[in-house]
Amino acid sequence: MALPPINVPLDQIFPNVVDTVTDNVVGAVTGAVTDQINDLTSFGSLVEGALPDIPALSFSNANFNAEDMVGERLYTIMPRSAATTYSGGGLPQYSTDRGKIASLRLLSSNRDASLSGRDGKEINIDAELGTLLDNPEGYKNFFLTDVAVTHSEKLQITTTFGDGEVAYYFGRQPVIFNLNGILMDSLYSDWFTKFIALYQTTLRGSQLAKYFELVELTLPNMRIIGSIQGLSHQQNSARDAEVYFTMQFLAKEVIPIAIPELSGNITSITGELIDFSVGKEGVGGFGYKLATGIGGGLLEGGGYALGSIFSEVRAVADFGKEFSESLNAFRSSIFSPVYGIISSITRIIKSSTGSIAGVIKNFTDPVNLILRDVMFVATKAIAIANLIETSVNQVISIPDRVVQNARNTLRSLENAAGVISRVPESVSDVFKRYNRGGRVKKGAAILGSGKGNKKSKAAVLSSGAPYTPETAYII
Amino acid sequence: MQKIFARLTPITPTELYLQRVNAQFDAIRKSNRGYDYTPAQFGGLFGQQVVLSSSAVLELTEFEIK
Repeated sequence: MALPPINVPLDQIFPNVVDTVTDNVVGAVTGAVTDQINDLTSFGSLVEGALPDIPALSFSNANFNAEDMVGERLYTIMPRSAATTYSGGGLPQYSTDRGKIASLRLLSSNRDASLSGRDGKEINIDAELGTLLDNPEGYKNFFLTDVAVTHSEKLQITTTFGDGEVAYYFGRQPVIFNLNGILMDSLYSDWFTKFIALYQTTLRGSQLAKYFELVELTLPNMRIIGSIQGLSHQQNSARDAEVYFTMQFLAKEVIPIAIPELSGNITSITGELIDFSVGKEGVGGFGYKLATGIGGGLLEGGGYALGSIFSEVRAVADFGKEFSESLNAFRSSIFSPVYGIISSITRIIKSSTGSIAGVIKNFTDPVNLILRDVMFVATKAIAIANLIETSVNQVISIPDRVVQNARNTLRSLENAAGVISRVPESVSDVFKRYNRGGRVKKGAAILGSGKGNKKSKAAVLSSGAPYTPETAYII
Repeated sequence: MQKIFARLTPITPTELYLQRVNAQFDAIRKSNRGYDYTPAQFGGLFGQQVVLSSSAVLELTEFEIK
């Protein structure tokens, strides 16, 4: 964008207007002057090239060049599974899973020998054996939830004279992985019995040794080759379809898997900005349109559109400079990058609150605090929430005490905020509640004044008319 | 200072998603201002399923107690 010239005398910028004014000091506004005044309002002829239309300045429509935003990085912690790849005409294709799960493979030198003679008693494991041996993805019908291992050395410390000792290192101690997990025991997922049969016939160390095989366990961050030393499992009557198991895996070899080199770029960013200045009412409001494209944001070749994040905006030259200066403070952090959002957020928030440093600090330093804050739920208020949430199930009636307790408890909180949902009461529910409290008599649409109160109904009704059976049903 | 504000909202999938997003942002906002924050839970995951399949209208009570 070209800026208008500076330090240029006014009569050179507006030559016609100034001449006209000096010539017509006392003159009325003529058509010529009106034309010059009209020229004042359109700068198109004064600058090189046409200025683009700049929309009305608003916090939700700041002027950012999409290409400049590509260079901004939001440093955060991301798991391996976030490095998703995209395809399909530049539209984001997100997978919602957490990446690869653990898998087992049987490493065998003689496939036929491995397949023969393995007979699960009453359980047919031919398909599972085939998967273990032949499928490069491995056998996945188990859930690993915990992996724990300790590496230690074979060490002999010999005490000698003086301060100090002699340490003899003899190599490493056996590396044993303790794996915890879950096996499904369900009608459609017969994992548990198959796994037991596989363990008995194939996976346990003695069987592996007999057939000269090894087991390879692939985790997202390492491959372990070795043998299975033991398996224990437990089942609880509270859960009918899951069996918890523990395995001890003696590892011959532990091969870490490197984080892949991340590449790719964003070529087009469209959508709307996140606007933190939007008022809270109306979750359909502008500020709550979150991007579905946040996350890995990395493309193997080609570009993709970050839908619903940024509107098409243009750069103002100075903005980029200001951002890189403020971002330098945390650019040296250890986090891996996600493209594009922090500069727009800080610009918007600075405009409305005046302080960038605090905002950046809130977003990046320390990230753990933010992550904790996002997931933190007040223990004090959670009991109330549970109390109210049960009303979702009570669609017929809401206990009176629930409504009253909730209000009282809310008022007793300190420094608390939140949202509680409940099924709204129907009119009949309200009447039932009032009836229980004695405020409405069943069968008669007349207000009472509470249980045990002897005041006449007439006194309660505003009309003051005396109560008679004939008028009982008239409000 | 007490703000207890209840409103009726039809719970559509969009509305539920927006409530979840709202919870995330409000958690950051409120805890930065020193509040303990309770997001709307709609009876947990199962409750949300029930609410969605029955196209329920719920009364959402937003509160902010200083």
